[in-house]
Amino acid sequence: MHFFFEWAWLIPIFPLLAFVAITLLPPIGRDRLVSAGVAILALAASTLLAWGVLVAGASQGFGPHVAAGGDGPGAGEGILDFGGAFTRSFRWAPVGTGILEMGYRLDAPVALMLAMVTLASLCIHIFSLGYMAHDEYPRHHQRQSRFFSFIALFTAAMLTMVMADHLLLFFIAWEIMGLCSYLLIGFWYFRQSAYEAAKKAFITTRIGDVGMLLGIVLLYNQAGSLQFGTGEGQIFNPAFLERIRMEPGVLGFSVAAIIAVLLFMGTIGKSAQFPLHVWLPDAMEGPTPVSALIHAATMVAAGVFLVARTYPIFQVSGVLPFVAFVGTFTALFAALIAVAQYDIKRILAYSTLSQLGFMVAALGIGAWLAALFHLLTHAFFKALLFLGSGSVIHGMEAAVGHDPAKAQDIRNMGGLKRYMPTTFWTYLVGYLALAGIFPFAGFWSKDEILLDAWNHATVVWIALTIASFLTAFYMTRQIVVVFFGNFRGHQPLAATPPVEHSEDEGAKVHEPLAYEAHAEAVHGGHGNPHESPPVMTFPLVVLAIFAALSGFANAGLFFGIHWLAHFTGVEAVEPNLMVAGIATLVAAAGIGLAWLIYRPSYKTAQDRDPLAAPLGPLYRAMERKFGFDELYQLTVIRFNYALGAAARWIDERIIDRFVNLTGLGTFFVGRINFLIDDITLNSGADALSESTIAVGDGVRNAQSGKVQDYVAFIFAGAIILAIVYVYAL
Amino acid sequence: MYIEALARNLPDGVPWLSLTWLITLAAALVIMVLPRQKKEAMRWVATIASGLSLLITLLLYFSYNLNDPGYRGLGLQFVERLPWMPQLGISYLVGADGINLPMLILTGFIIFTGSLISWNIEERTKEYFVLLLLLVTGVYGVFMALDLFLFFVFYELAVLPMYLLIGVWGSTRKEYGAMKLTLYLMAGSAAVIIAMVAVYFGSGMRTFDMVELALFGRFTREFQALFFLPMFLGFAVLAGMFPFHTWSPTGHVAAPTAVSMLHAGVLMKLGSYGALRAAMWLMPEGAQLWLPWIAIITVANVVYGATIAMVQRDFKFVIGYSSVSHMGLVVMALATMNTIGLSGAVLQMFAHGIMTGLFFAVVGRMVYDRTHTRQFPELGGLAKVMPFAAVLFVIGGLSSMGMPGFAGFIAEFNIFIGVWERYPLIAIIAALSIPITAAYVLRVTYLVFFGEVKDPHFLDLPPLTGREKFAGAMLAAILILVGVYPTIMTDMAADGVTEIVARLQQAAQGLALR
Repeated sequence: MHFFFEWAWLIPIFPLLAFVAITLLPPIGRDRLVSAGVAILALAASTLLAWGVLVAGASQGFGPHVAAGGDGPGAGEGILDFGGAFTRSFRWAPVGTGILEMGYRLDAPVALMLAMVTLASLCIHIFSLGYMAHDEYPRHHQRQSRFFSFIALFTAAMLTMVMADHLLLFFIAWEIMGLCSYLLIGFWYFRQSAYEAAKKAFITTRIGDVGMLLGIVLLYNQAGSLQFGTGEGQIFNPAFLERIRMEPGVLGFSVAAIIAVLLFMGTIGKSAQFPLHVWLPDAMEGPTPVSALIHAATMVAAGVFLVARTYPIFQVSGVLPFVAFVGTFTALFAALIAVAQYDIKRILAYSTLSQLGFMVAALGIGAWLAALFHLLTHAFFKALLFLGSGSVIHGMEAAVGHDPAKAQDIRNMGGLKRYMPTTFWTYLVGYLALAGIFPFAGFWSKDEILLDAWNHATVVWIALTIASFLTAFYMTRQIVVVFFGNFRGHQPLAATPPVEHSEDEGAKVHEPLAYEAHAEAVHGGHGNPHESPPVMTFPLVVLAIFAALSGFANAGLFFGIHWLAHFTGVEAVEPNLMVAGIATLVAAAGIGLAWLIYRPSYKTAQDRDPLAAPLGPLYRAMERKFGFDELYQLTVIRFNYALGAAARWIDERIIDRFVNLTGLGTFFVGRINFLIDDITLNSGADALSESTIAVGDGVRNAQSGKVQDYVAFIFAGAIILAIVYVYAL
Repeated sequence: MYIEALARNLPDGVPWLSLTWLITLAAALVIMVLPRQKKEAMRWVATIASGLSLLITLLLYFSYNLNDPGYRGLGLQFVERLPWMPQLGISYLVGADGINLPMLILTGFIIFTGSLISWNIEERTKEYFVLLLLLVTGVYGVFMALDLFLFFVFYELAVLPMYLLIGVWGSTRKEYGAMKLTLYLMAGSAAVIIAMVAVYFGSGMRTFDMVELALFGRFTREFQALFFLPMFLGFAVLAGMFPFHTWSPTGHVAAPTAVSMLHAGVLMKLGSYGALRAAMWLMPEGAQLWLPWIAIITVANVVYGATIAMVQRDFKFVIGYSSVSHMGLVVMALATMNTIGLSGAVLQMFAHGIMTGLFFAVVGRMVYDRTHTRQFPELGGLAKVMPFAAVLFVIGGLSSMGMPGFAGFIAEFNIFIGVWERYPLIAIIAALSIPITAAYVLRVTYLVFFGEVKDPHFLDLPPLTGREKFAGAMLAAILILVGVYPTIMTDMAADGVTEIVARLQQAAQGLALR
């Protein structure tokens, strides 16, 4: 079965070729169906290969397992080494004296990620074919083709990142994903909010990336290589890890700690952890399949994967408690905000933040396998939920028109169970998985995290248990308000789009009216919501199967399945019925409470949220996301502009003024020269004086005439200086 | 590959290097004698001549041999040597290695695309092209000269036409811009002359031959400490080093498009190239003494320039200040004095040259010449009107912000590795410029290309001509090519700087022994 390993490099190449073909070959790019077909076929081929790799790896391993450790006392003790691996590489670019190679590495976590990413991406590609069908602004067929080319490029980058065998290639793919994310969030760039969101996402993640880049630079500086692996000269080499663990950096931290913190900044940006979380909810301005693919299943999980991939460095760094803190805080904080949101996609976005927090927290407490497990199951059920919400929005547009502010507001929905049954049932599966109900996927993976927390970090366990309660609560609220009760969309809430503040005056842009009118024409605007076409519901069903069953990869409790632990070579954790019991009780409590509160509420779209009155100011704070957007607006962004303005002031008022003064000074010297001329050479010809005046005027106007004199003067001075130097010293 | 086969067997006995500037000079002379009304002929002559010179630089690239020890073991190839004024120790000596060959190729690309972009010049077409070709003759000459005197002659030839080109064909306070630029460059060259003359006498060899001086010149430590600084700073003024940078944005803004391209794309590189070739090569101990201080100043360039770029209201000023920021990275990379940093500097010079050429082609020719404004409040929505220009600008912008897959990333990554090796703290502070760069590029992209079309007249703007599209696409393609397959440039750059790095390290050891 080495066939799959040898040809695995084609996995990212297929979607990359699809991107190139759609972009560069007009016959393909001109037609949306052809370009979608090319992208889907390419991805299907990748999916087959990726699953082939997984099956081959599971049945016969990835290669000899090189035991870590050996040299150095105590080195490699308890450090993760990812089991056996299969690697291939070729020369790409020399950096200075060392040569960097481009290559791929297949091991257990990589194979799992490849299988997940290809499958999720394939489902989302197919879904997009239906979802994007009505996007015809600005009346160019090419725009939809471009959509497919972008998500194909994104998938290629994500797969490259997963397979990369060294950190630089990892980073390159990481950045290209960021670029695709930017392009796709801003896909409807003529909407100001979309463009602003794209810009915000790009810049916010880039702040994290700067840290990551510096971490890579420092790591390269220390190791002389960026290659993953435990061999000599590779970054997980036990002797090397031991060295950076002992070597003092600055402020009493070891070099390993500094590298780990810098790399973790990349995670904070990409996986939208507190305090760089602000971009992800806004990223929902992008088309919904994009939210599902990039901002739920794959790219945002890349930050988690980064820590998982470089875990040995984190293990020796001593910063894992910090990682755990950031993750736990984000899990709890985002879940609180999700309770008070009304936009169906934003609720899911905050839920994603919270779940990513779970994964990061798991990594922080040493539960590497649990984090990876939750990453995989979460990708399936969150992609499912997002696509489900896309289906809901698509159906809602028939009732309220093509206006995101109306079509995405859960207060305008209600009773959709009747109108879109397939969407409802698949959504329900995703919901149960996310809430952590036995035996859906989320139950198993979340239980793993809670179990490890219970065993090693009680504080984290308490916080995550509260977050689980909130998860069940806000998801039940969403399900009840969206799918139960009466349909309220015929008298929708008057849309009040949030006012975005832009620093640039003159940048305020409204949606082109033609676009709205066009959308109205397509979507009648006042019918009933309808079920989506099969091309959209089919991917929902596929994902629902995985959301329901993928947890059985590691179902320790009752079933005694430890396949995932065995596959990745990590020791399985003893299942604990009590932890699972508490988790289930908490989830049930959240569901029950939300059902009791929300089932009787929302008779009309204009009703207040039932929690608003009892919680008072707390609810308002949650509604406003605790004000972090405003805070950053007031501090970081203002500060930056102020800095720029101050720098410009220095340039114009001080440096330039000084320059101009020098010019005036030269002019003044010219005047004195002229006076000397005038007095001492008084008898000289008038012509001379007049020409000097002319030169003076020339200086005043063009101020260039003196330059040559100046040079000549300095030249003479230089010669004198040099002569003095040579002969006198 | 036919071109490669041809290049491998480049006939001997042809002065290939000199042909580049001889061709552009000849074209200038031809245009001079053409009748005034034959504008179309002048354009063709200029374009064909610059295309030929580009072709020669590319031939030289393909026939460059990485394993050749080169002229006197210094890695210099294609060397030509003629006595010129032997009694003064002046000779015509030119050669190319991994440092200046990328610069020659860069010059070729910029003048070729610049000629294509200048097709619309109607006012005094003859003088314009003559001056443009003279300017580029000087630039080619500077990049290949290995004799200090020759270097300086070409240097002056490059600076003077610039003054006239901006003063006559420029816009927006053109006289002021031209004056300021010339004043600064002259002040810079004055400082260089001092050091140059000092080197001539101080070596005791009475020669301007840089190879001789590098091999046998015995400059005392005190001499180097005294004269390294004027030489380096004199050139650094041209590279836009803080606080001698204000000429550059003003000059960029005032200059006509092709001149902005040459100016930001090539002329600023003359400064950093001179600083590397003349100052650091000849006086390595001086470099070891002074460059750590210079490195601190370049932080201002990098971060300060980027912040100013963010608050501009004029499209060209943004690009101008972004050049200040990027060229600051080059000088910072020079200050690392290690292989990886210096090759990063060479790569950044190349990448920034192509990128900024592309920027000015878009901003000056495609946007300004059509809309007649560069003020952000008046622009907007141009992506609908000229999508091709928007794509070109975004490609340049991505390279500018160091996005992997574009040439800028390869350069910046090398630079950051190199800087970290020597000045970790500076690397951290300089890295702040990365998100700021992303911020201003995206801001400008939005304000100019996206959003609503501000002015209904924009919908009737003349479409881009095929020549303009070709020029822009050519530059964009190079950015992507070098970004995706950097080996084509990195090998050469790393090979080129080894000689200088060896001398710098030797000097460091000498200083340490003391």
